[in-house]
Amino acid sequence: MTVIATQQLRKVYGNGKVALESLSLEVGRAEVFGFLGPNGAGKTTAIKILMGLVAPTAGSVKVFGLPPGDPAVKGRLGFLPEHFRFYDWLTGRELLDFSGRLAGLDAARRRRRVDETLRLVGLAEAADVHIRGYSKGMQQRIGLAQALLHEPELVLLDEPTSALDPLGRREVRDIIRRLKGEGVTVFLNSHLLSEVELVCDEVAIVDRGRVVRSGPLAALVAGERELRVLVDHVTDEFRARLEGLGSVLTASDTEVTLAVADGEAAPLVAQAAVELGVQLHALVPAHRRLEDIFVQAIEGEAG
Amino acid sequence: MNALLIARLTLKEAARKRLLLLVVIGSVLFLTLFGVGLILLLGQVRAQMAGSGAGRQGIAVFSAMMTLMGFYMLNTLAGLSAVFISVNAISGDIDSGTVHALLAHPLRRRDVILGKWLGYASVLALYVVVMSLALMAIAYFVTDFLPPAPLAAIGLMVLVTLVLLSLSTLGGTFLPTLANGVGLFLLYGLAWLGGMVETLGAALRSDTMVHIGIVVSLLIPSDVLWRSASFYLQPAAILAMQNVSTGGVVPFASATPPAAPMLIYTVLYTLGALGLAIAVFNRRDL
Repeated sequence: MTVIATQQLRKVYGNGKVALESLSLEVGRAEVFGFLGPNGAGKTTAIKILMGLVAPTAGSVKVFGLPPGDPAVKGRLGFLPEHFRFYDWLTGRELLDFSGRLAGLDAARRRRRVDETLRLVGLAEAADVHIRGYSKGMQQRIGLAQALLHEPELVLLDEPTSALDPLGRREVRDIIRRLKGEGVTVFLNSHLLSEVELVCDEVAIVDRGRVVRSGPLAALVAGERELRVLVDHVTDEFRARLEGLGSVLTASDTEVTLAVADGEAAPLVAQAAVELGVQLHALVPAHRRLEDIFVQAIEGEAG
Repeated sequence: MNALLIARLTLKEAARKRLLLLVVIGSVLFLTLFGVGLILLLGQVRAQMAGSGAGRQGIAVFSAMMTLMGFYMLNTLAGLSAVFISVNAISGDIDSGTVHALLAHPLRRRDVILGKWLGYASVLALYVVVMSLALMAIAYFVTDFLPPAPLAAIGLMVLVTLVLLSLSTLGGTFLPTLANGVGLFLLYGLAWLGGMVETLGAALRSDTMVHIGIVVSLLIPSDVLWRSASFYLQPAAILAMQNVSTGGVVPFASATPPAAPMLIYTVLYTLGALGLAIAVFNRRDL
């Protein structure tokens, strides 16, 4: 079942800035979808359109099959904005209680969920402190809590870990995994590749308002392998042989990194080394990391 | 339903923020000054008029005029408060990004506008009623004067704050807080000026000046509403003074009851500004 579907979504702001060129996305139920791109790629605009905060200039967008911004849609989702801010004269508990009222939770469920989510985001101790007194990281945590309070089917997170320390980041990752386990669909905006790599099953790489690569994370990463070749000396002959086996990513006097299509390349590299009298110190196959794919996709687009 | 939750939150905010405390302190100060000033002035007037035949009548007129002045100041205070408390109600939430988190909940944009409006309207109405009653009580204890129809006057003064509240809400949907505030004060000042021009025009029998005053009143009916309210605060003696002698104009006050079309216009104006605020807010990117 499709939870989010957009077709050729375009957004041009009043000042003529094109935030989205043509965005077509599909996010299925219970997927953790990573929306990845450099700053200014249009990620926040996209998430705002999905939330009904910004109207697209052209194209279509459906969330749960309905136009975004519809209260019926918003009742089924939770949203953590990039810089979460709320009335800072409320305490964390009061904020969540208000949030629960707006979501239509009855008093008993509200009380239970407020306590549960406060514990989940690690704010149980600061529950009765005014948000004014919260650190940036705590504000982000309470923002996450209000997004999860009403047990939504879809959670949209815009750079959820930007204000968090490494420990906080890990906790957020754990929460995302937990949501996935509960069958919740997660739409994650991020420029942090490691974050997306660790939790997402589907990834779309966006640059300058359009998707440049997309697909299941496993397929994106598995399709390309890397081979590190460490030798005593890279001769011209040896290098020429390597170029016949894959594309050279980096090369120095003693080391060459190759992008290769499959696992067959390693024995061929070893064979070439032996034939050419090059001393082979190490041959390290590795999956290409999302970061490399990301950089390649963005640079390919730019070039 | 959700609008009521927002209204409740707005009331809570008003109660919790220092702003309300400030307003209460300022208001108590104002009432104290009014009471003390009244006692001192009345003592002087009594001393001067002692012995003269028109003493009783003179003191009655003086008391009524002073009470009218008190209400005039209260009306100004309430109008300024209406602008102050609501000027960043919408634009502030937009600037801070609070509106993103708020609108992520299952509510419509109009719920936010209506809820905040309702919340502030309740605070302002309560303020005008309580302050008017306090003012009347002080005036009564000091001078024995009671306005002839205070309820109608209080109702119209509440309407003054609602006109300004709706305008401020409308401005907040598309202007930054500062521009909204400056614009509102300009309009408020313009209304006052228009009222003066109209009153003077009537005294000088200048149709042009009266027409200018009327156009300004249509643009921003806060002052014309006050002048309507003033009619209900003046005893027959003062009204007669204004009517008989051409030079006997009481500034800031009107000797004629409000016209029904003007009242209908003002109510439509208030609702129209609120409706426009919703329409603008519905359409804008946040």
